[in-house]
Amino acid sequence: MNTMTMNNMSVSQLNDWIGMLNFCAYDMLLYLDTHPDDADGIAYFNQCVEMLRQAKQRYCAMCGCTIAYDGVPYDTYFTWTDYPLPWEGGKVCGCMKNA
Amino acid sequence: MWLYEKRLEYPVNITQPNAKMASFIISQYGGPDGEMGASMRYLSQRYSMENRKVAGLLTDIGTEELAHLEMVATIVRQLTKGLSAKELEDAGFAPYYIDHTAAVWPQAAGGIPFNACEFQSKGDTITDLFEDMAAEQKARTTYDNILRLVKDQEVADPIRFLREREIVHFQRFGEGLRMICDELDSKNYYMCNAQFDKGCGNKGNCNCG
Repeated sequence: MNTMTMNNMSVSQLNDWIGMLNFCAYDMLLYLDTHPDDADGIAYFNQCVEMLRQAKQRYCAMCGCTIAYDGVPYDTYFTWTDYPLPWEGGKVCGCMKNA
Repeated sequence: MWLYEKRLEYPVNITQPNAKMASFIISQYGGPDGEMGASMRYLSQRYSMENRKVAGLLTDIGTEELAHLEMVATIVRQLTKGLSAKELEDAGFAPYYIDHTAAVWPQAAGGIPFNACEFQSKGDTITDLFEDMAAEQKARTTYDNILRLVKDQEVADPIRFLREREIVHFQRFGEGLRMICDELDSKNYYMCNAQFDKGCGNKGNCNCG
């Protein structure tokens, strides 16, 4: 998935993409905890984390960030609590409402 | 410290409320083999776990369990949100509704409140890792039991994800146990406790027996 493709994604698609990359990164994190010398595993983990970083950056611009610190510098209004919360369901920003 | 990330580990989007299902699934929030017990078990055990790799594994799996706790809470909330008192009563949800309305509170399917006695932090490396492996299997069985009753795919889909993670965690804890045993005397793993007895964990050099 290149950056051009990611930039054409809808919020719903980007959300699914972040979910997949996050799963890849977290599953590899647990794997590497018990296989710290697996060079192929480390390369795959690094790739997942970098793609995740880019996807989250894009999401941040479209929907507000999922981590409060990532949105800095805030302007004159603190937007962190404006977006839907994950348990609300749906399919757009924050938790994908009304896609 | 922890930093909250405003997203679910796996999406939950339930459009048909069903309080009866919520009354079963809540067991994985605060029941004997639920995600609250899982996260508290691993995050408590890690402080005395002298092997840094295994302490790291307990931290990372314990953190993922917190994300699972949030997913189960989300399922319960979406299954009960918007229902009237009469609808909740008709679904057999009245006893819970009386005490908690449509809020999320840690209890077992049978109504027993969450209790720290549902997990151990024993302070013995081998004992704790066997408990952790058993805990993952007990949670997997509970998800299997839930899946036999759930017909709605919007509910079954995230439950299947949670079930699969129990199997991965079981595998990782098994690898952690193997790492611990590799450092112990293979003729008697039980000669000493690697997180209590001085010198334990250096194969034959243990002066603690």
